[in-house]
Amino acid sequence: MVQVKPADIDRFLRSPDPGIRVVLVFGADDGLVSERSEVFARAVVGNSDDPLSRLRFDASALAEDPARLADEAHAVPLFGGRRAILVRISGNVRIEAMLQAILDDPPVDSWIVVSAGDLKKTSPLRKLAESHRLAAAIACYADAARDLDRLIDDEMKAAGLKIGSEARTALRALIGGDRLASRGELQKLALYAEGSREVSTDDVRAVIGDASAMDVDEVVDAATGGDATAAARTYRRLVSAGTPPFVILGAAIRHFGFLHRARAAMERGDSADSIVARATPPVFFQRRTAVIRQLDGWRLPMIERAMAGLDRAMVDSRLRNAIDEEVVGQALLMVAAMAAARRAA
Amino acid sequence: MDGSLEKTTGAYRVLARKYRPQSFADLIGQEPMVRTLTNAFRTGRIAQAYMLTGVRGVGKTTTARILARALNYSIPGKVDQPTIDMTELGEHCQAIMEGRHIDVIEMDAASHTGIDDIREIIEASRYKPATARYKVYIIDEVHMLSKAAFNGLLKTLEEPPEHVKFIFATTEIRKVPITVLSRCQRFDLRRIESGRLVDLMCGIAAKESIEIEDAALLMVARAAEGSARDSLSILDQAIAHSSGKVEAEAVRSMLGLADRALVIDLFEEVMRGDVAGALARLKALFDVGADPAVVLEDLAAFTHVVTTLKLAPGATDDALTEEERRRGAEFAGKLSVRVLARAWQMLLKGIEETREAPRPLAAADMVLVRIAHAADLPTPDEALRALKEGGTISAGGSRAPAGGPSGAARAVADTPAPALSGGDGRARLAAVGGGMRAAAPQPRPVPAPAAPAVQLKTYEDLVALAGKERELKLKHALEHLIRPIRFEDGKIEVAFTPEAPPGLAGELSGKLEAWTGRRWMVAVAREAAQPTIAETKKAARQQLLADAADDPLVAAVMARFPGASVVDVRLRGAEPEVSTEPTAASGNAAASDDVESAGDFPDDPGYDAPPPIELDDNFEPDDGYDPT
Repeated sequence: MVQVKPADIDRFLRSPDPGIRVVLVFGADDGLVSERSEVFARAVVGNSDDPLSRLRFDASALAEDPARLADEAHAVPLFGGRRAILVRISGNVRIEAMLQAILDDPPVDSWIVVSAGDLKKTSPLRKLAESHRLAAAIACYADAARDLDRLIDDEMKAAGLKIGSEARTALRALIGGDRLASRGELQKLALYAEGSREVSTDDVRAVIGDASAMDVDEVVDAATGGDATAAARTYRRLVSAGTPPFVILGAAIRHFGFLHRARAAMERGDSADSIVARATPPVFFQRRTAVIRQLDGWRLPMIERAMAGLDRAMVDSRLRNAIDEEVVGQALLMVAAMAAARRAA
Repeated sequence: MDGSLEKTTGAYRVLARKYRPQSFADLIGQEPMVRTLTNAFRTGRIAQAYMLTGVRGVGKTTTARILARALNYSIPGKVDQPTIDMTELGEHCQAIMEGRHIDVIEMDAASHTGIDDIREIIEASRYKPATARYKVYIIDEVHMLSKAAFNGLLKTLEEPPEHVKFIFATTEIRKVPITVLSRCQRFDLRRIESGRLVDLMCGIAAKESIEIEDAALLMVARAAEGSARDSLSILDQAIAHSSGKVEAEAVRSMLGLADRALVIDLFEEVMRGDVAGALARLKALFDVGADPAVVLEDLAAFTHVVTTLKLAPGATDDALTEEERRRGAEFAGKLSVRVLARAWQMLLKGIEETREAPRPLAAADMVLVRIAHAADLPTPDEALRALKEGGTISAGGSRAPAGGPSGAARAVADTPAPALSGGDGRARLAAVGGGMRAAAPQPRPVPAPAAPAVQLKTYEDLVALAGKERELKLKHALEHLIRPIRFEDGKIEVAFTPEAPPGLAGELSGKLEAWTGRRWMVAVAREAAQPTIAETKKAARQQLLADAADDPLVAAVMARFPGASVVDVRLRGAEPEVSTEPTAASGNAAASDDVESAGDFPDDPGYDAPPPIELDDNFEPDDGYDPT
C-alpha cells in the first residue's frame, strides 16, 4: 500500500485495515511517532494489560539475531490473543530483509509496528512499506498551528477547562515540535489550572517551560516604550532572580533589529498593524499594541542610534564583567530616555 | 519547617542543612510546581517520571527528595496514599530525607554515565519495592548519561512498571534527548527573588535569635543570586564573622564590596571638578590596597545608581544604603542626563585603559582628570547657546536643561579641553576640537596657537607643527602610521600601524625636542583601537557622503538627475550645511534636534573611535525632513 494520506491517518490508526500487517511510522516528530505507534498497537490488540500482548524491540537487538522477528511474529501465544510487536529503529540497522520475509508469509495474529526517525523517500524501509500491499507507511511531521490548536482543544476539553484566545496564543508560541512533549506540557497546565474554569495567560506563564522569555520582553517593551521606571524595576527583579544581564540585552538587540526592519517597511508604505501581524518570529499577541506604538515613535535614525548604543553595551558588558549588570541597566535606561524625550517633543 | 526531623545535638549544624526544606510547605519560590503537584496528587494523576530543571542551587535535589517522600508518604492506619500535605513524619520520611531509604535509589549520572549503570536500574526495577509504596529512582545530572544509556532508559520509560517512579534532575535541559524529556512531567525550578530570600533569612534569624541589620540581609540575598542554599551559607559566614549583631558594614567587607561612602565622595569631587581632591582620594584608596580599575568600576556603578535615580526614581535597588540613596538623589537633582551619560562612557573607557596600563594609578588619575574637566564643561546645548548669544559659558555642566540644539557643538563640549576658558568663540572651537586625542575632524585647518613658546595641546597641533616645519615625511607618518592614544604637553602615547618603520618613536621624540626645546616622552602601546588621523578623516568623509546620499531631498535630486553623484560635502562653520542640501531643510533641523538630545546615547567623549562627525543630527532625514 502507499503512504497513508494525512487526512486519513487518524481513521486508519483507530480502525486499521486487518490486511495490513506491517506499519511503518516515521518522521521528525518523535513524540508523534511514538503516540501513533501506540494508538495502532492498542487498536490491534485492544486495551489489554497482558504484558505478553505487546513486545518491544530495539532494532539493534534484532540485528544480533535476524531470525528473532520472524520467530516472534509467528509464535502462537499459549493463551491465544493478538500481539503487537513494536520495533524502534535506532542507528544504522537494516531490517528490510526480516520485514520482507514476514510480508511474504504473513503471520496470523501478529502486527508489526516499526517506529523510525525521519526517512528519505529513497530509503529502502520506506520503499518497502509504501509498495507492499500488506504494509503501510505513516509520516509524522511536527504539528502545524492547526494541529496544535486541535491538541490544545483536546486536552483542555478532557480536563473540563476553557481557554481564551490570548492564553492560547501564548501557549502556541511555547509548545510544539514534539507531540508527546506538547501533550505533557498541556496536561501539566491542566493540572495547574484545575479548579478554575478558564486557563489564563498567567497560568501559562506560571507553568510552561521557558516562559521567563516573556518577562524579558516586558523589560524590553518598557524601555522601548519610554517607561524607564518599569524597565528598571523589571530588569532589577529579573537580574536579582538570576537572569544573566546579557540575555536581556540580547533580547533588546533583537527587538531593535526587528523595529529597524519594521520601521523601514513602514516608510515604504506598509501599515504598522500588518507588519506586526506578519512578523516572524511572531510578536506575541499581548505585546502587539505596545509594539505598534513603539513603531510610531521610533524613527530610523533613532533606532540606529539605539542599536549602536546597545551593541556597544554588549561589548562593554563582556569586557567589564564586574559591572555588566550596570552596563546593561544603563543601556536600557538610555533607550527609555530616548523614547521618552521623543514622546515629550 | 516542621522541625520534627531535627534531633537536638550539641554540635553546630550549618544553617543550610539545618533549614533544608523537608516538605513542600518549606519550599519557597516554587509555587507553580507545588500547585500542579498538589492537584495531580489529589486527583490521582501522578506522572511516571518527573524532570526537574534549573540552575545550580535552586533546590532540585531537595525537591526530588521531598517528592519521593510525598510519593511514599504513609502513616500506618492513617494515611495510605501519596500526598503533598505532610504535616507529620511518615513511616519512610526520615530515611528518605537522609538519603538512605532502600526503595529510594539516588544516582549521580555524572559519575555513572554508562549503559551498564542504567541496565542495573532496569533490571532492579522489575522487582517490587521492599517496604515503600513506590520504588523511586532519583537520577541527578541526568544530561550526563551516554546515548546508549538514554536509549536503555527510554525503553523503561515507554512502559514503566506500575511500582516505579523516576525523578530526574538536570541543570542542562537541552542536553536531554527529547525522547526522554517528552515522557516526563517537566518542572522548571525558578531562582528565588531576593525579597523572598530576605523573608526566609529573617524567619531563620528570628528562630536562631540572631540580630541582623536589614541592609545586611539585602546584601546577602543579592550575593546569593537566587539560591536559598547559597543565601544560608553566606548568612552562616556572616554570623561567624560578627560578634553579636550582624552589621551591614561587616557583611560588606566580608563580601568584598568596597566602602560605598568613599566612592560617593570621590564621585562628588569629580563631578564638582575638584581634581586635586579626587586625585588625593584615589591615591589614599590606592595606598590601602584598592585596585584603581576597581575603584573606577565602583564609580561607574554609582554613576548608574544616580542615572537610575534620575530617570527611574521608583526603581532603585533595594540594597542601596541610606547614604547612597540620599546623596544619589541629590546628585540626580543636580546633574543632567547628558553629563551622567558622558561620565559613564568615559568611565567605561577609562576602566579598560587603567586595566591595561603599566601604571594603573596614573591611568586612573588621568581618567578622573578627564571626567572632572568634562563635568565642569557646559553641555553642548549650553555651549551652542552661549556661542550664539555671544555670552560667556559658565562652568559646571549641571544646569543643562534637557533639550536644546546640540548638533555641531557637541564635539566641542564632549572633549575635555583645558583651553576652553579663554578667547572668543571661534578660537575655542578650534582649540578644543582635537582634545587629547584624535577627535572629530576639523572642517578647517587648526590655527596654530599664538603662544610665545611652542605649545602643543593636541595631536592635531603636532601634525600642524610638523607641516610648518616642512617635515613632510614625519607629517605623513603622523597622519597615516600613528594611532594617537593620549596627548599631553611633554608626553604622548601612541600605537603604530604595522606599516610604521622602526625607529619612528625615536625620530618623533627627537624632532619634538628640537621643536619645543623640551624633552618629550613617547610611549608606544602595543596596539590600540584608535584610528589614525587619515582613517578618521576618511571615515568621516564617507559618513558625510553616506548621510548626504541618505537625505531624502538629495535622494530626490539624484532621482531627478540620473547619473548625478555626491562628490563632496562641505561644512561651513558651526552652522552646518550640506552643499547639496537646500537650505530649507536645515531650518527644520534645529527645531527637531532637541528631541533626541536629552536621553541620547552619548557619543564617545572624543578619545576612542571619534564619532564620524557631529553633524549627523542635521543630516538625518528624520530630523531635517519629516516624510510623514
